[in-house]
Amino acid sequence: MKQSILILIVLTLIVLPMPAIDGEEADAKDNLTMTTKEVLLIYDQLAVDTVYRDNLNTVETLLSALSQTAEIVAIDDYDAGQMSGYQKVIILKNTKNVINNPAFMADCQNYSGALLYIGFVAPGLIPSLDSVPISRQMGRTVSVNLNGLASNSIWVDDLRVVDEQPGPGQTAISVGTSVYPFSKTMERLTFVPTLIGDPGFTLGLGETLKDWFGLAATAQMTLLIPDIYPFSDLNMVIETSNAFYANGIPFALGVVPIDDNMDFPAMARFYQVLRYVQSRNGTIIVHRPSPATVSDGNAVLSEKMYAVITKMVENGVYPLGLATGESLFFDEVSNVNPLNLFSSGIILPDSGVTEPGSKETWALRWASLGVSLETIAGTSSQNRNFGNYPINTTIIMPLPANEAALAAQLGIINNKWLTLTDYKRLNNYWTIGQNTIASSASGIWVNGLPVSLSYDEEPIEADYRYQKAPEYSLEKIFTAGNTFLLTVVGIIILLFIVIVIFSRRVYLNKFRKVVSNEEKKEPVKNLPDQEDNTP
Amino acid sequence: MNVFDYLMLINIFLIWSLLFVNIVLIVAGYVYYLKVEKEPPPEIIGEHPFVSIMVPAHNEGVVIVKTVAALLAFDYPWDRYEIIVINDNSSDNSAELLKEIQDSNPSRNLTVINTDNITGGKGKSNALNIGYQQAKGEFIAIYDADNTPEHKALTYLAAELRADDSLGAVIGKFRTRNKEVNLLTRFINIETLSFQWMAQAGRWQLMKLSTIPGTNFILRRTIIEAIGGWDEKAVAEDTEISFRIYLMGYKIKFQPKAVTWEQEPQTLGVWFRQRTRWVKGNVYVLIKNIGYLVDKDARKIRFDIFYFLSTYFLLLTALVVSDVIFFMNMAGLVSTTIQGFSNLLWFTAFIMFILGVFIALTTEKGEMTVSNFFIIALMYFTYCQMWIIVTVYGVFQYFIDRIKKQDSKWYKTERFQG
Repeated sequence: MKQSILILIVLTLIVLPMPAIDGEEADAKDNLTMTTKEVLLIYDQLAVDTVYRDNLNTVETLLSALSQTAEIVAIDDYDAGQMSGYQKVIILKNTKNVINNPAFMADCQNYSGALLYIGFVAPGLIPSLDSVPISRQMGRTVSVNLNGLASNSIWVDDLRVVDEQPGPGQTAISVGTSVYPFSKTMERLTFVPTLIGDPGFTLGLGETLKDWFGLAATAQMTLLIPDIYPFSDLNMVIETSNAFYANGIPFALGVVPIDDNMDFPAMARFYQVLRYVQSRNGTIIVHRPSPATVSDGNAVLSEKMYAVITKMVENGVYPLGLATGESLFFDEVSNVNPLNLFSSGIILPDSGVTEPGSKETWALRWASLGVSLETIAGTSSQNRNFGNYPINTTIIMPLPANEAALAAQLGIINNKWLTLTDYKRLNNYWTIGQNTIASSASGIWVNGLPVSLSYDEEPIEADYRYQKAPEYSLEKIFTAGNTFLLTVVGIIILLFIVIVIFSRRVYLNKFRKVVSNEEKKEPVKNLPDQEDNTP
Repeated sequence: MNVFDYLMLINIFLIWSLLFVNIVLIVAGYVYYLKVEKEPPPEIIGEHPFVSIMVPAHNEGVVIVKTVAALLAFDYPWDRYEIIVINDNSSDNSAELLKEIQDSNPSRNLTVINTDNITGGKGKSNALNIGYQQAKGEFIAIYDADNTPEHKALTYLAAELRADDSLGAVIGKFRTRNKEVNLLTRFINIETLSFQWMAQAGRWQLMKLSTIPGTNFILRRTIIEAIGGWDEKAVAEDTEISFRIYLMGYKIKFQPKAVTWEQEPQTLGVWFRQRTRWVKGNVYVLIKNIGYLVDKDARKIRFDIFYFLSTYFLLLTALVVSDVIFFMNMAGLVSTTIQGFSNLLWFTAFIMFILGVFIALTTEKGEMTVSNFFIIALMYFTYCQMWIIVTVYGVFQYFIDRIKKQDSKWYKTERFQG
């Protein structure tokens, strides 16, 4: 009986903390889109040696950028009936190769949900596709037209388009004078005949997916300067911030989390620069470090990231979002706390993905697709205002190398008449450790209290000092006095040394006889310097 | 700048000013040392003056025999000096010991005056006044009961006084007999040497001023008569009488060849009590004579009054206030904005302190040693700081006594066997 009670107590002790842990996890995942896996993404091959090698990554990235969750499976690994568990299925056919999975082929015939088919048509796989008129053109320069925005001069080796006229407002591919729809929708089936790793095609597919998911029409565009380290050119960061502020351009700064030496002067200066950036209408975004670069593993990484975020907040730097490559979505969510607690993020182009592995089912509540500034520059607009891409996008603008580069980049942004959204107005929020941070059009709130982003610190100097140097009274007098006294004391020391050396001679002359007499054991009392009667 | 800045500014000025004053004294003291070394020992020309040696003693049984023996052994005509031991209300065996000496030296001029708690026991000044009543000498010499003067000491003192009518008194040098006992006595040994060669010799060289040290000195009887004896309220009767001699227009000369050896405190408690008495006594004398600082007729003692004032009030206040402000500043309780000096300057000042003190030691046999060099460095951080404490305590006690309207109690320094 006593043993049973003991076991009960032990079990109680073990179990008691569990609700707390569960609670934390629930909080941690609160910001995630926890819908069940609605989408099954099936691909035939990665096609690594072809122009289609980035297609799977593109689809995944777009799904993440659209805050969608998905399960990914290769056709060869497909299990019978798997498709029926999903409301939406995307089939990505990167090759013309014959499909050798009868179960998959059978399920395709019977699938009744929404189906998005991308790429080469496999005859007989989807009966309705076989009747779609396809125009195949080899070696063409095309434009992808996204509702007034045109990505031009895209070279396509093997172009397959639906040989029809696009509908009004529909994303289209222009080849010379001919215009074709980017995709064709037939009841439950949407078909994208050509997808290559090009931003224009990616954005075209983005709009197709957005329509396919039935997402709201409003899309926003933000701007990100990524990969800022403490040892980046911080003067250029400041200069860029000033330039953007002067031009009324809201921007975000992607900060690479540094978890070591956080008390070093370089970090203090870095935080100071980030505070300055915030005051210039800049928003701080945290890059999610790749677990592959962290030898300590995800658990340690999470611990470090908690420390990084906490330190940033302590230093008046309020990161509001996450910047991450698509590949990092494949890591277990629970092991990369706390960066997955951000409500918003930017999905950066990540061409390095070749082995997708198992994709976890999480997504940011608000996400955007990173597009390069060059893409923006290469995009023409029908209107004077650039307008918006069909999906949320973030212009990725590297930190200018110099003032000329800054002027050039600024020129592109200004000339395009971009409508950029201030990132902090996106209703971001997160709770990490003891801190809860929220942002909206009214500003940034930390633990329920608004924070001022005004910057009234001393100008950043090249030789940054940890603490503000105290201001001294009579500094000049004391400096001069110090020099004077040092000189005087130095002279006195020299004088004293001379006296000591001289006195040594005097001492020896005075007591030499005494010493010699003592050695001879002669009485000393008759000497003039005797110290007789001494104890 | 706030009030603390101004205070710090005044403190810095005071500390450095007094530091430089003492450096000047060190150099002057050394110059005097060289001068004395070149001169032959003073000699008495003609008949030796009759000298009354007075030894106030209160419970000095441990040391009195040796002291009287040393006094009897003076290289001075026996019939030209007398020894008057004032056995002041002693409760030990001093009376018996002194009687034995008297009995064994019947031919010597040795007088023992035994007082009780009615006639005596009121301090050194009172004992000296009692002794003085029986003194017959034209010169009066004073020795403390723990002293072992060298044979020639009295001759040198009397010779100097006889040779120069402008001298009211001549003081000798005292050495530490028990310096090897412990670190404290080593500190005291260095302290006494540096004080004598800096303050006494230096002041004599520059201003013909010295302060009577309480023992091993000689003065004219006429002076005692003129001033009506010793001030019995003064617990630092030596300083008190020095001021009186200055005011009479006499000089007090330092003659370092007249040496006596005395026993210094061997424990901190004894040291603390003795030095507290000194501080209280000197503060009494200072306050009593402070008016002379602005008296046109007292120019001669102005430096000494200023010297005492700076040591016991200005320097002390500056050190204490600057330390208090420093620690309050560290604790964030006050803020100071003055820049202060560099650590290098403080370090060089420290080196200067060591060398300055070491110079005084080079004048004495067996003191110019490496170990003493390091002991001086150690003194800076220990003994000097203890002096600050004892000075603060002594000044505080003095004013407590004044508030309570009670006379300062004369503390008799405890003696040690050996």
